[in-house]
Amino acid sequence: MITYDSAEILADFSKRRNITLPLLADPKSEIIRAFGVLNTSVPPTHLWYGVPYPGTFIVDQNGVVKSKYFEDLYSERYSAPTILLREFGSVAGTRQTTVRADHLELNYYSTRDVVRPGLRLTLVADFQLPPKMHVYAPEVKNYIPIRFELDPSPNYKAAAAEYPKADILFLPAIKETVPVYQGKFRVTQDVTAAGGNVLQPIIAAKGELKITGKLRYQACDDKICYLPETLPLEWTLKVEPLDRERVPEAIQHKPPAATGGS
Amino acid sequence: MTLPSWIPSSLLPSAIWAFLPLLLSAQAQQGRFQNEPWMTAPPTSTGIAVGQKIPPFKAPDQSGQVRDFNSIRGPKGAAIVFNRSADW
Repeated sequence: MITYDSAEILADFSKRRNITLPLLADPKSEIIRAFGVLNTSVPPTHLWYGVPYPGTFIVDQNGVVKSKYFEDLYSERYSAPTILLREFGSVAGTRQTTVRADHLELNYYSTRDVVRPGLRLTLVADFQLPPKMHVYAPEVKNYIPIRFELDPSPNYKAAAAEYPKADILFLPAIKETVPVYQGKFRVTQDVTAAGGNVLQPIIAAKGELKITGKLRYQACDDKICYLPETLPLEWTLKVEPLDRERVPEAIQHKPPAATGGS
Repeated sequence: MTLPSWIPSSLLPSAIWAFLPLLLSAQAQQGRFQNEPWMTAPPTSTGIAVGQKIPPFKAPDQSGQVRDFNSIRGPKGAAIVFNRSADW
């Protein structure tokens, strides 16, 4: 991780949070500029001058960028498990809910059980259908597609749900070709916890953020289409406040004007 | 070293993102300043493109040890996280 902080600031912070992995000090923003991520909106005389646009580069062992994760708003961040899920397809350790419904089994969870304001996490739903069973993909015409839908809330912002590529299935009985999901598949949806003070009442109370939604689908096998189903979905996340503890004043950043610029 | 359980052990050498959630806690705070329009401006650049090679770099870490890409990468590479500050 690279910041425009001095090594002293990073030493204090990493000691306080017990971080042993490398935090690199770039107080003159040389690496930040070399990577092309200097925040050019900050006026040169402001205390923040030299900060990067926050984001993550995933780099292979030869130093070639494989992917990157940046947000439009500085106060919003991808959480590490969301990046791990995208890069490696799995993330372990959070609470799962299992639903054994008619014609399908669903395991769903959040990539994080604990969130802070502005944090972007991923809601994951892993499906398992019995042999010969299918549900319809979102692009299907004239059938009821699977639909993963979150209830709107001021406490979070939902990105679009992401569905996998459909299988194309030929149904001899009706001589139709339809896009479907069969066997195992995954649907995900990113959610960003509200920033600013929106979550303050939740933090002041029980610290519980509930995300609710529903899953609608119609399952069919090679002979029958069953009645459409709607399953309620609910995630309960713990909300923690931002850490506002500062390093000692003596080593805090000084505005460029006071130090002759940098 | 204590790490959250969601980090696969195979990633440990390159898991410099492990503390990203912790760092979140130290930022996104603008209480000491009035809101200015530029504070919420979206990035004008997200830097080096996918498929490009990162520039060489060298910088001291929190213990004062000078690190470069070779010293932080693991067998699969590395996640290089740019954050605004650890003190906000």
